[in-house]
Amino acid sequence: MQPSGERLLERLDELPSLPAIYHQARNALERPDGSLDAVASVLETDTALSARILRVANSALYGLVAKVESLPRALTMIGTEEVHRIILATSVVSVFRDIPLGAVSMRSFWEHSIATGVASRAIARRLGQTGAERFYLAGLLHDIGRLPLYLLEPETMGQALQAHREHRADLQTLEAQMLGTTHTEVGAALLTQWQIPAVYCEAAGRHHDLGEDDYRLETSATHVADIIANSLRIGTSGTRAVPVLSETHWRRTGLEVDDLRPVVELTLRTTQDVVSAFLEL
Amino acid sequence: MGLPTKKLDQIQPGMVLEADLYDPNGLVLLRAGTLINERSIRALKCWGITEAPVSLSGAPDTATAARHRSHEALSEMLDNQFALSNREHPAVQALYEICLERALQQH
Repeated sequence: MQPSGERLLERLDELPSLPAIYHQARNALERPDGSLDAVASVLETDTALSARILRVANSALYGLVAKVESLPRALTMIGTEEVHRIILATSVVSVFRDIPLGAVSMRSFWEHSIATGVASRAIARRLGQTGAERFYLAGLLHDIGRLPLYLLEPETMGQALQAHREHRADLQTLEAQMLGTTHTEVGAALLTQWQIPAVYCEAAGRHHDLGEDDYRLETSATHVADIIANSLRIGTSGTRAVPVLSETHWRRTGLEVDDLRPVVELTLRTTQDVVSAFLEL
Repeated sequence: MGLPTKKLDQIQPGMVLEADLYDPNGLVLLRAGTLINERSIRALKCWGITEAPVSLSGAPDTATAARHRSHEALSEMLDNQFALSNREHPAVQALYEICLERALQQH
């Protein structure tokens, strides 16, 4: 008999996949003669998604000086580099937003994910990194592997959560014991299957690794951001406990203890607005 | 009675009872330290009690005690939340402190 973990990884195609419009927009974006106007025309065939992208573009995530009313204008304002990420982020959240998750509320799951993204971005800013939105996306997607676990193995995950609450055991360890796989392994597999850039697969797959020392900065920032989001109790992907901080990840970020307060403050100031932009009508 | 008392019509929710209060049968009605609320005032009226030794809860001692109690309760909550983490790490310790500060402010 196959180990249950492998069987679960083979069932990922039972989940909803990214919408066709995401792939169409990505193709338009990657064409050498492509223009943002062409990408906007593709996106505008899906009014719900375009409205959502416009809302996210106007949220505290980008901090645009003036409100942008049109999609082509918004894409120009946030820049070509960023357009792929905003389409990816809004597509992923929209695909899963209205599916009941059972043991954990889907809203709470996304609140935790968005808070981790916002904290990861705040860390990048603090470190003077360019492309802070890359860190946002890494944080947003870090626990995505929990969705297949809840959706494909609802009963086992319900038992895992109960054991987690009753015995104060680490949820990731319980996943490994009860399912033969973990949300990090499943998350990396899912994002790889979706052909998402490797940086996000690594953040999803290795944000709980403690030992090695060859992490991308996005992965280590996400590791610290996850701990911040759990400390602040903004949403939850299932666990109520603050995870262990890895000294390797912490050193990799180059953060000082004194950097935490400004990072926390920026996270608290920004998260609610970004949550509304992604989740509310 | 040794302690200064207040008339029933001056007793307000939020004040604290300074000594045990007995009903006319000699049974304890309210214990010393009880925070007066609408219901305790109704109880006093029911029993025909016209005055009681109460202090404002804003009085320094009581307020300090209350803060101390809520500080303890909040620390316990955070201890649970951080039970699986490595509290000895300075960054985790700093986050714990920030969370405690926020919780006390919100309290």
